[in-house]
Amino acid sequence: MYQPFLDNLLQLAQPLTLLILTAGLLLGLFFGALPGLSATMAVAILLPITFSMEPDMGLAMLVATYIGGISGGLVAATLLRIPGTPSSIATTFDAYPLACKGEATKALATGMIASAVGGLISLAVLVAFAPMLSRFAIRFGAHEYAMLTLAALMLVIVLSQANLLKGLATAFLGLAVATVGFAPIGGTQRFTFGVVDLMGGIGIVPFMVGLFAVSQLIREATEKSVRVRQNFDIRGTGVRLSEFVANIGNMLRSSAIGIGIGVLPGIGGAASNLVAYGAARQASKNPEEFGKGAIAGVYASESANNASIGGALLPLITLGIPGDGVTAILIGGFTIHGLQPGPLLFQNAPDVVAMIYAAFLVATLLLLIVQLATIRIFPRVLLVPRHYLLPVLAMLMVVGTYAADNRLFDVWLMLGFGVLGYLLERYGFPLAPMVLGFVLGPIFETNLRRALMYSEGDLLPFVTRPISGVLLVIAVALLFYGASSLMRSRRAA
Amino acid sequence: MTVDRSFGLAFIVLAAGMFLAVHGVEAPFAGMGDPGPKLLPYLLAAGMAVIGFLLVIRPGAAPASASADTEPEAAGSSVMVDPPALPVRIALAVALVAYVALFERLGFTPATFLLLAFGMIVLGPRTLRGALISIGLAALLTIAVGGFLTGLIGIPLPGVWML
Repeated sequence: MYQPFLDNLLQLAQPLTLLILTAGLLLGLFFGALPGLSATMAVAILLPITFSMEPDMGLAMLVATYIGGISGGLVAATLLRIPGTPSSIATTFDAYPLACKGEATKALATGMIASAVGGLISLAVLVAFAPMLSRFAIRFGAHEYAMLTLAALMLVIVLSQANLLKGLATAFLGLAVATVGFAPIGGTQRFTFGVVDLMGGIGIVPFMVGLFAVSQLIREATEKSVRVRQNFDIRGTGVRLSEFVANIGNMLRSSAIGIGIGVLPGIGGAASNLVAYGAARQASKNPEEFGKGAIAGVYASESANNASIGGALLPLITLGIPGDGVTAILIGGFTIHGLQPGPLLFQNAPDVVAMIYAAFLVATLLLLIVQLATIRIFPRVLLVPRHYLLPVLAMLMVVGTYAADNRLFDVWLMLGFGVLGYLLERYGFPLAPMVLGFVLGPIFETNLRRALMYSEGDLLPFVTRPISGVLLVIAVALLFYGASSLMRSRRAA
Repeated sequence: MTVDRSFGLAFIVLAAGMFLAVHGVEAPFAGMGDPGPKLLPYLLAAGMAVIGFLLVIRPGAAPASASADTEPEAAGSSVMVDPPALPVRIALAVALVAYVALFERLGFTPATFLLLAFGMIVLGPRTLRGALISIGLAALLTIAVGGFLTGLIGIPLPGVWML
C-alpha cells in the first residue's frame, strides 16, 4: 500500500492535478462557509464533472471537496457566529468570543492548524488501521448505538456551561423537536397536526441556522455590543507554540473522538465536534473559560470535525458502508467509475485506495496553505460596517436555508428557532445539548426500538453486551457526576 | 416570577401538549418487543414535565445573559456600539418577515434587492449619498448572489433575474 501511496503523491504533485484538487477544495470551502450549502451539495454538484476524469483523479477531487466542505464552516463560525455546517457548531462557542476580543486572526489560525492536525491524525489511522477499525465498527449493533447516543448526550449535558437542569431541558427540547414528522420505524405521523410540510420532519439547516445565526442577528440588533479593534498588526498568525504544545493531548483526544464517531455510520461530524468540545472542557484545568474564548475549545472542535472525515471514509472504503451523507454520494462516484467500495477494493483497485489516501494528505496540506495564505483577508469582514453586514447576513441566512431544500416553510422555521435560541441563550440555557439531542434523537430512537425488537422487549442485553454495558455505565456515571456537581453548586450558593 | 419559573411553566405546558398530542396518535401494531412510536414522546413529555417542575420549585440563580459571557473585556481599543433605535428594530423585523413572505411571490431578485436596500438605508447614515451607495450595493450584491447561486452552481431559486 505504501509504494502506490507514494506513487500517487507524486502524481498529485503535478501542476494540473494540483489545480484540479485546489478547485475542488475551494468549492468545498465556499459551500461549507455558507449556511444551507453543505459539503454534500458540493460533492453532489461535482460528481457528474468527475465522470469524464480518470477514476482515481475524479475520486481525489471529490475527497478534496469533502475536506474543503467540512473545513469551510470555520471562517463564518469564527467571524460571524454562523456555523456554515453542523460540524462547526462547537467552533462558534470559543472562536467567536476570541474574534470579539480582537483576536480573529489567531482564532482562525488555531482552527486551521487544528483542522490540519485532526485530518492528518485521521489519515494516519485510516492508512494504518482501516480494516481493523471497520471490523470493530461492525460490532456496533442497535444496543450499542442506542447506548452510545445516550452517553454522548449525557456528556454534553453534564459538561454544558449552565447547570445540569438547564442542559437537560434543552437536550429534551432538541429530542422533542426531532420527533416531529414520520417516526423512524413504521412511519407513524407524530406532531404534524395535518401540516404537510411537517411530515418530513424538521431539517438540520433551519434548526442550526436559526438557533445560532438568527439568534446572533437578533442579539446584534437588540443589545449593546462591544467592538474591539482587530489586531491586524500581529506577526505571523498569533498562534503560540506553547499553546499548540499544550493542546497536543487535547487534539489527540478530540481526533480520537472524531474518528470514533465518524466511523459509525449515521452520526458523523455534527456530533463529534460537540462531544470533543465537552470532553475538552471536562479535561481542562480552567473549564470556566470555555465559552469565553478558550483556545482549547477551538482546538477540540476543529480537530474533531476534520478527524471525522477519515473516520467516515473508513467504513466506506473497507466495507462499502457510507458514514455520512457525503460518503453516500461518494459511493455514487465509485459506482460511475465501475468500482465497488468494500473489502475487495483493496484487492481489485489498490491504486484507487492509495489515491484516496494521497488525495486526503495533499488536500489537507493544501487546505492549510490556502487558508493560512488568505487568513488576513477574512477578518476584514469584521470591519464591514454593521449597516451593510446585517442585511447581507439576513439575506444569506434566508437564501441558504431556502436553497437547502427549496422550501419556504423551512425559512419560517428558521426564524422561529432564531427567536427560541435567542431567548434560551439569554436566560442561560445552553444550546449545545439541544443540537446534539436533535441530531442524535432519531438515531437513539431507531436503535432503541430495533434493539428491543431483537431482544423481544428484554432490556438485559443493554447491560450484558460488553460494549453496550460499558457505554451505559459511562452514561450513568456522567449523570451522577452532573447531579453531584449540581448539588454542590446549590449548597455553595 | 423569575425567568426560570416561566421557562419551567412553559416546559410543563409543552409536556402536557406533547402527551395529549401523542396520546391521540394511531400507531399500527408494533412488532414483538417494539415499544412503538409513542414511547419516546411519552418519555420526553414525562422528562420535560419533571424538568419544568424542578425549574419552578428550584429556579437557578439570577439569569445570566449568554451574550454577556461572550462579550470581550472593555479594552482601550474597544467601542461600545448601541443597538438601533426601537422603531428601526421594528422596521427591520417587519422587513425580514416581509422578505420571507415575498421571496417566492416576487422572486429572489426584487425581494432581495428591496430587503438589502431598505436594511442598509434604515441602519446606515441618513444622507442622500449614503442612500445611493446602499441602493447601488444592494443591486450589485443581489445580482452577484443570484447569478452565482443559480447561474453558476445551478441552485434553483425563484425569480432570479440574470444579466
